[in-house]
Amino acid sequence: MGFQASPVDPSLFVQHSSLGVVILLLYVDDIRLTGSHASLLSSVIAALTQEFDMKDLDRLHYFLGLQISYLPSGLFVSQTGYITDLLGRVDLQHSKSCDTPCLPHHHLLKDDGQPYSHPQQYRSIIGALQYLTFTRPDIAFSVNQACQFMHNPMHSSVVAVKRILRYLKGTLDVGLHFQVGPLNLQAYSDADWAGDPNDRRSVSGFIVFLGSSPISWAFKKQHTVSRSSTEVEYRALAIAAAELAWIRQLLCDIHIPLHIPPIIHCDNISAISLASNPFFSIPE
Amino acid sequence: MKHLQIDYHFVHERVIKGDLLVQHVSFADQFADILAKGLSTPLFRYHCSNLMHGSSKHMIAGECQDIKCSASAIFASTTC
Repeated sequence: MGFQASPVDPSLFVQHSSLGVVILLLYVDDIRLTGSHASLLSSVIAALTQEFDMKDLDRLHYFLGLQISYLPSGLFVSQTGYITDLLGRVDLQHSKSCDTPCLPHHHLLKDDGQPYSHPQQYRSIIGALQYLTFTRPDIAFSVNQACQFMHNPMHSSVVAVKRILRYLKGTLDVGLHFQVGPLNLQAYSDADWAGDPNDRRSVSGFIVFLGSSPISWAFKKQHTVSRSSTEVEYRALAIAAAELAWIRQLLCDIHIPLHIPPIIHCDNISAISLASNPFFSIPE
Repeated sequence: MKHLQIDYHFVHERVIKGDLLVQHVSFADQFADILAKGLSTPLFRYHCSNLMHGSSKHMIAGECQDIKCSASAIFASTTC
């Protein structure tokens, strides 16, 4: 049918012709289809229906726990139902909500008090919370903190997880709003030097915006101990640059070339100088 | 420093080629802050509103504007 697999995402297929572009995303036995013209889509659906036994579910409203609603200004994606189920599972649906998912500048310690008696339950809740970070970058940091105690959860980690759940209770309806806007990529990279008190490794995170909508974010503890904040910020910059290169290639594959180079915003002047000054170099 | 050399050249090459721009951003507008550390309530709300976190029950009118107002008021006080 003239579809080509995208080299950067093996489950993405693109059909490009003089009539327009059709993008097909395959997830196990589910297909998501979008394209530049409705007539192109219906011809692809007709061709696929002839070959396979399948059902056209019309517009996408629910996909793997994500609820999608169509607003005049764009798309709204949330996981309200998923959060409600999760709160019901841990019997916190009537708890008092709180404003933030974690206390400011609070870090969990690995040998802080007593071990928790039901580590399996802890792991299962963390797994559910990790899935929630698809539409909730606001809890990404707190969930990542709690994830680091999966092997041996303490009572203090359970208290932290309860706080995340109580925060979610107060923000059930929050989600991501994708708006139509200019197609330019911007990334923000940040790091917390020696932020983990347990092993003094640093943590770094980035968030990528396409126009005004956040499309990708990640938060990770770095593998090595860094001896300066510049080193940490520079590594965060490199991780963000790699993600931007991937997204740029993906946009190229779906025939949306970017004319403006992506911008990374960083708050560390030394790291910026290191990246852009041709006369700087780091010691061997 | 070998691991850093790789990162260094990776970013540097792209910047030299013009494929990437690196810009400074002030602490107040660092949206990625929300991913790197635990924040206080006003700063957390401000960054949340930047992430376009609307409510499906039609945010726009009251709620979000309130957040924005309070956030800008806080920034006014921190910059003073």
